[in-house]
Amino acid sequence: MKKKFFLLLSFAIFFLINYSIAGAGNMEYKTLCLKNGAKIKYLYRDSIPIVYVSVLIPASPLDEPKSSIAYLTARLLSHGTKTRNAREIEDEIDFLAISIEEKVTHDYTMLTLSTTKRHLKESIDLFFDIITNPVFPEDEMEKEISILEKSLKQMEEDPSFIAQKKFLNKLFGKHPYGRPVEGEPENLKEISRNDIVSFYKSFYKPDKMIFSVVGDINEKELKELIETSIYKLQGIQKERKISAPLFAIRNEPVKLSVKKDDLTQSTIVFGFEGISRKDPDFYSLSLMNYILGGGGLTSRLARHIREEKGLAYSIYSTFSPNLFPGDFYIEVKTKAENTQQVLEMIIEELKKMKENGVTDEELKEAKQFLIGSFPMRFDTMKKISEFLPLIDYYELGDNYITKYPEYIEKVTKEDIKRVAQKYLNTDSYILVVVSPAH
Amino acid sequence: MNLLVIILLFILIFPSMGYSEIKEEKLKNGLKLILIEDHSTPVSTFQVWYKVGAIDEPEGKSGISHLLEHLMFRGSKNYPGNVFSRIIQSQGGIDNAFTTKDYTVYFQKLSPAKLQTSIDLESDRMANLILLPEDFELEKKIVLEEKRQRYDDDPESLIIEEVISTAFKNHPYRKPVIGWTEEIKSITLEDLKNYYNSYYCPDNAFIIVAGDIKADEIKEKIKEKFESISSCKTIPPRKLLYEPKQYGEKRIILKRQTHLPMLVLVFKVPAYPDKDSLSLEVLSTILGEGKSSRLYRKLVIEKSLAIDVSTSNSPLSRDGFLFFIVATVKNLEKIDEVEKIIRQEIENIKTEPPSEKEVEKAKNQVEASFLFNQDSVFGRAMVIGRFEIIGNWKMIDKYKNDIMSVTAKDVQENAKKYFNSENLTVGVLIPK
Repeated sequence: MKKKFFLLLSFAIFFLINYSIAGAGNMEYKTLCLKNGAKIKYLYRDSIPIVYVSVLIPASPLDEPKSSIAYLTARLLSHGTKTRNAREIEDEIDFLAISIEEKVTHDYTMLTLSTTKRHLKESIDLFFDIITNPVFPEDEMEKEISILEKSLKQMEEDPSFIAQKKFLNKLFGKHPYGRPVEGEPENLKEISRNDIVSFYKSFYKPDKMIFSVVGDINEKELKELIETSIYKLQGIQKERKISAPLFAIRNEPVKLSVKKDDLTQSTIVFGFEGISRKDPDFYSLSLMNYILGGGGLTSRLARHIREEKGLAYSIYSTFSPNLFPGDFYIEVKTKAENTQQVLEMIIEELKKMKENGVTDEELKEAKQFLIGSFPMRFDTMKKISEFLPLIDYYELGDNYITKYPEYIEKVTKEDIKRVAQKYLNTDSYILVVVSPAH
Repeated sequence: MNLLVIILLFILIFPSMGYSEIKEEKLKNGLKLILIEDHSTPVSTFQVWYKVGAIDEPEGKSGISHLLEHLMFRGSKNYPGNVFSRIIQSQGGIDNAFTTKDYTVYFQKLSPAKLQTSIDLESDRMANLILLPEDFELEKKIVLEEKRQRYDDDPESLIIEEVISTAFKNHPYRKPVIGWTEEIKSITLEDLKNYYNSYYCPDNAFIIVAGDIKADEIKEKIKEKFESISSCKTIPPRKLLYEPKQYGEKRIILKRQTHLPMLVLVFKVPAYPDKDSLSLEVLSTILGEGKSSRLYRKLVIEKSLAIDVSTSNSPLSRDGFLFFIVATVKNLEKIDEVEKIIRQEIENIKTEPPSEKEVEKAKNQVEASFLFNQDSVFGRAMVIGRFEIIGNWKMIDKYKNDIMSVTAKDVQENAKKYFNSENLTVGVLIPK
């Protein structure tokens, strides 16, 4: 089921691109721990005859000996098993009208099966076949690498991609967080089938896998279809040798510029070091970011630069709270001649946040939003299925959903000012500007 | 598979898809309410659909629907200033809006307990929008930035827009929703006021509320705020939508700074309730949706000439639109070969009907997409709204019946009928 992106582009124009925030209700899921170490988070819902099965595998660019290996391993799972070739798998997926999506992040890999109840048995059989018995055919790998190389080169025409890539590369250096999860086109020729097979054998082991099963599937079916299949997976995951990024010390701003033909706007990425998901500052930084630039049109940056001056259509701030400290950046696109003005306005906003913090009203509204919209993060079964393994992986605690409002409520104005001063680095930031060549 | 079997299959497939939990009511001023109770998650969505889009715009004023959408967030009588989103977000909600060629939608997603906020805000901006010169000038600037970002600096979107505007010589579908730059600049505040007064009234709109709601309760609350809003004096008569005959295929070549060439073939096709649109919907699945589709197999897998290819059809538009075939080609030298293969695949379907299995696959996908769509309260409301725009949301059952009765022969016949040079426009994006 392919999404019709291009039609959306031509047919509809959105007023603004949405925020990443959304939230939870009565979600009493069960956690089952199997003998081979795998865990299952299970939530029964029979309102629609559909089922989602997700699995989180702790394997990512953090573990790969060469770039692109984690990504390609996940992509190639569905390109042939001991009993099905790639074409048979594609035929089956389309005929059953199911989907198997692979998502590779900087921290983990996740696969999600979406199926109707009517095709549950066949689709579970297929899903576990590709997880358990992939054979990674050489010719399929070559095809996939060729497509990836072309796609990456195409992505490198996109001003946002160029600016973010340069920024992350400067911030993280050679650490895996410093490159796109898909890798880099120039390194693809170094990859062999052995790299993929060995990555699979090292990391796709049941003892560290976290499954979630959500939808119209009863406990008997869960046991007969899912548990039995998980037990076919054997072995222990190789110990992850992963490490935090070592940030280079900067004593002044680092400014990078890229010129490109055919542009009318400049794309500005302005940022610095952020925090890890386990950092106690996470909730304070979430609120500060919402007020600064993460809260759509109501945030300070959008209000001043877009709504009051008309200098941009899109402007936001964001941060990546990963296993290890990630990044924090602001991105904006503006007509080329306004670049300097917009840049000065951003720095001024950051300084104001550091010096004066936020008002009582701003903090109150930000808390109301983050708490009130929390249930929308889980307003579909698919979102629930993809979220439950993360609770475990990032050790948020099984009571996370009920505790979240409390974590947010606890944050004070002083906390906001403190994190602003600690993280908003207005003295030695990294700035990337992609602008028109002429 | 004969018809009877298909119908029986259909009954088995869709048992849980009855829409009996949907209630509708028309207020005295002509505003229609569609209320969908779904208690599976503690969320809700409130949507106001205006039956006006780029298709209705006066000549020379392209982009006015979208510009008005932006201005709808700049304040109304009881909520002056730029406060709309701030109020919604402070209630834990998310709000947004979008304009299409056919309609304009304003929506919030929020806790069912907070729906009164949506009712208060939406009724006020339907009745009493404030349009100030300074906001008007600012939003024009923002829209021009949006145009630069979305089209001028994005060759892949640009080629699609160029193909659409080449395909139609007279029909208003040729105009981009965002508008032409010079025309956006020429829109006056007076134009906007007239446009708002003409189209933004209860009898040219409907409201959908979906989620964990009590339909009767919410209906009363909506009535209280919306029923006193006056109907339109006169809604401008709908334009006569007319596209003159095309003589021979058209071609547009665009050279931009990009890495991969793109090939876009579009055929003018009808919209639902014309049943041909559903045969074409089945054909789209067979030709270019999914990795087992004919074009993907041939171009991406077997010949390795493209990195992606897909097709799409839009039966739920107010008038006939376009059937798209879009391929991202690996090398410039191969673009002719790709086009040749696409044309050959089209000929193949004209000479021989698709297999029963391919047709069954397409129907499985239709069934599944209706089911998966119900996973989201918002998505469900969107589908109902799109049917209401083309006539009545109750057409959804007939639509499903109609698509389930499409045969392999129908697919072949419609390929013959529409896939010809009198309907075809080709766009080629070439890297500089």
